[in-house]
Amino acid sequence: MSLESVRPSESAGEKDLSLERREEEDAPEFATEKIQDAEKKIDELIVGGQMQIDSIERSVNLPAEDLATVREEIGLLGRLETIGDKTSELLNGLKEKFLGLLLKKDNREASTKTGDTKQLNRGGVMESFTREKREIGNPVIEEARERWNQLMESRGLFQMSKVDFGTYFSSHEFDIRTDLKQQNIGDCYLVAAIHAMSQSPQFEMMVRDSMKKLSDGSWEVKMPLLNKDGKVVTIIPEEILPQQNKQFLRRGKAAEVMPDLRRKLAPVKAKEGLQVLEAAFIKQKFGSVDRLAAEGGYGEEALMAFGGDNFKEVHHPIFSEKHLKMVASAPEKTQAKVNEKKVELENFLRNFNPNVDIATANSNQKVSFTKKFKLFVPGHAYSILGVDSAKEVITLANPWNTSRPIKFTFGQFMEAFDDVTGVRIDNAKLLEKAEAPKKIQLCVALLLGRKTDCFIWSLPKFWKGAIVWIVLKRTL
Amino acid sequence: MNSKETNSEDIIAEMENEAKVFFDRLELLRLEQSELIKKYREKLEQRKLSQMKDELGIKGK
Repeated sequence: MSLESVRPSESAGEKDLSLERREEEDAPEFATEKIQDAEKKIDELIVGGQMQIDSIERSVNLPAEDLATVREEIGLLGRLETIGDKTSELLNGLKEKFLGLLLKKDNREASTKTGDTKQLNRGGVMESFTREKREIGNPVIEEARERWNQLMESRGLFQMSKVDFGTYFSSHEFDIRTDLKQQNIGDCYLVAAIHAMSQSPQFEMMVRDSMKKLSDGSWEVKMPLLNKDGKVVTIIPEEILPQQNKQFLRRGKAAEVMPDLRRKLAPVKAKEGLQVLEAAFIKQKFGSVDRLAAEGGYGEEALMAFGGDNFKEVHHPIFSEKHLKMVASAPEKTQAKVNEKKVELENFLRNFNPNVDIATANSNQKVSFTKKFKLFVPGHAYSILGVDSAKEVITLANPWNTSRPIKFTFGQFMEAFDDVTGVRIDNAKLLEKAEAPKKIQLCVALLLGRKTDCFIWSLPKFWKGAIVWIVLKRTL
Repeated sequence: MNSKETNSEDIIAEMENEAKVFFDRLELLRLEQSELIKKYREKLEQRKLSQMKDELGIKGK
């Protein structure tokens, strides 16, 4: 007999309340338990395997060279590593599926409460937003993309053709969409930044201006992109292949129980151009494509490296309900500052414009927040794909698989994330960079009858006209 | 039964299915690892045996 059944009878109200609470917590509780079970089983599998191997090696008592020969002979370490990778993939897949199911449930419940939300918003911080909401639909972004590309194309500034851009960057035919899958290195911030940037209408223009594939298969990337003074980073084909892990089977920090089981460190799984961008950032920062060194970082740092002065850095800390309660007892000055930051973030989200904003969000590091978010990857970077300010929904992509966007309500987002970091595109700067090449400027000057330093100015009118005609015909 | 309960039950049932698939696949990986370790042990034992035979000067199988 359970304890519940021998308790004295509760009042009807209490009963209803406890029942309701249990129902609400059922699915997240269930999911959390299953994930914990799954993690435990995986640990047992990996650690148990390692212990078995240690025990066998001790019992046979063979020299280390012999052990190494036999390991090599049957490909022991490689196969163990593959098994380890597969378990991680399975676990990530399960977490994503659970999270999807929980969010579906929450969104369904939230949609029935829309009326209440509107009521709350009317009286709350919403009043501080005087700026009109802008609806940036996909057609508008498409048009912006096309206009930028036409402008650059007409000025002869591209070193990569549209066909090549499609080949090396787009994951789908007739579509500019880019799909990325972070592999076994901890550079979520970089993959999220590349993915967020690839959603911008200016991405194609920046890439086609500053990246070039050479005949030997290597790439030249001008970093920052679309910058005259950018430093050329060369990426050879070998640098976008999986590389040997120098830390293989070594224990990093003293506290780490498990050795590093990754035999090879793989680049992001994506089209070649995107892999080159990942490698170019690492090479520019660390001097070589050292994937181990690139583990851990900040999305805005990667975005600034790609955009340089075309971008302006943006950072908004997120204050969850828990933080706000804590701040309630703080001095007035602190409270005012926190409120200011909160309003700034809400302003940013409500006016998020994919035409100028590129952003990533970092999930909460702590595991102690609301149970349903335990499935969410803590301390992980996500790319922001868009914000529907009317419905108060943010669409994000996990770098583990960007082809499956995740939707969060504003409330869920504030609870699960620590901050939003990113950049705002400086379109004026971009236009400056899109200036016509010298020869076109010369033609324009000649056509307008302006004196130039060039010897062509001193030629007879006929020859001046002929040169202008030839240059323009070739370029435009 | 209200719709909220039904939703919660449906979701738990879906999660149960997903978890089952996960644990089945994990079991396959466990078997694969066991086979691999077994093979490793056999190879090591063969090598150890042949070394001992060499040391004792025993020829043949």
